[in-house]
Amino acid sequence: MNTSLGAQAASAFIAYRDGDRGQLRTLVTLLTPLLWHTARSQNATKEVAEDAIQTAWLRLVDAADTIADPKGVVSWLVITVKRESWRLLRLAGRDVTSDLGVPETVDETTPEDLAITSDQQRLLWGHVNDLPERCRTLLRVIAFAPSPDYAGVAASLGMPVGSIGPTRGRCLAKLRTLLLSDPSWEA
Amino acid sequence: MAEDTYSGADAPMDAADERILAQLATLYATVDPVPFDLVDRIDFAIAVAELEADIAELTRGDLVGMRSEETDSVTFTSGSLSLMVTTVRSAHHVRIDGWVTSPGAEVDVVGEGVTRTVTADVTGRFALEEIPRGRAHFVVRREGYRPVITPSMEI
Repeated sequence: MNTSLGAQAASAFIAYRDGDRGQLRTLVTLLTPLLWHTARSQNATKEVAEDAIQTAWLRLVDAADTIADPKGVVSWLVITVKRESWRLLRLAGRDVTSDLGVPETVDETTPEDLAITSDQQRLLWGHVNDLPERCRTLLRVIAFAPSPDYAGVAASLGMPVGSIGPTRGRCLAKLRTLLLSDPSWEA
Repeated sequence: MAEDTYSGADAPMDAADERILAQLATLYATVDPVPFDLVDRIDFAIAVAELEADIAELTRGDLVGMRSEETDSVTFTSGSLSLMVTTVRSAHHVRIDGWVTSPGAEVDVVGEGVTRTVTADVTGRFALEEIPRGRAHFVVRREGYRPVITPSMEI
């Protein structure tokens, strides 16, 4: 089977620290989708998400030698992006009253519906939106860090799933139940 | 029923779970795609930070070359330094003929997965053969100055 995201990230990070600078681009390419959806799951606007992700990478470059366990690089980035998104959102919240013209919100509803083209996706989207917000946040992120990295990433988000091993967790169990009981869903 | 909803939460992930997560990833990539140039911009920000470099500005030409054109010329400027780059394209590779206003400067071409370095001659000219097509940026190094980095361009 293919190597997990966490394992690929760890080996790229080790190679980068050993002097192969090009491996940093590999790492950026590998993890940007996960980090994008991490930031966006925290209600970051697109601008805030970009800034938070960029800042996290720059911090990683600075702190590369202080990360004791290369396998922790994914968690380290997820936590940093989450915190940085919160920090920037707080700042933006304060700026709303000033005249800096920071847009307060980004419309989150209609373009998503328009982008969906297949019935299967529409069905999934419908069921996902029936889940509690906490579950949507979690599943959106761990979809980009499948097992075996799922549990570690969930813990980094502050939403641990199960105590040991890559168990399904309540949110995925719930979505699975919804989908499998829907006759239109093709598993 | 409420109990049923959460049954299996402690069960190990199986192939059906993996499929659901894969479809979820596709769904979110569709409704909220990562901006297409975000990886490039992150890469560039890191390169600038690592080099503590000055950023050159494009002063003539176009960073997104017309793919049909065989040759392209662009000029970058930072302070007193100018870098002119002409690209000549073949099927998979590009030849780069350059000229920099600082004879003897070292010029890096940082492409996708390759970095090549060349030293400009006494007139400031340099040439590089067989650079893979794709995105690339340049770094100019001179004694006594901070490195200068250009935005990335399509070559």
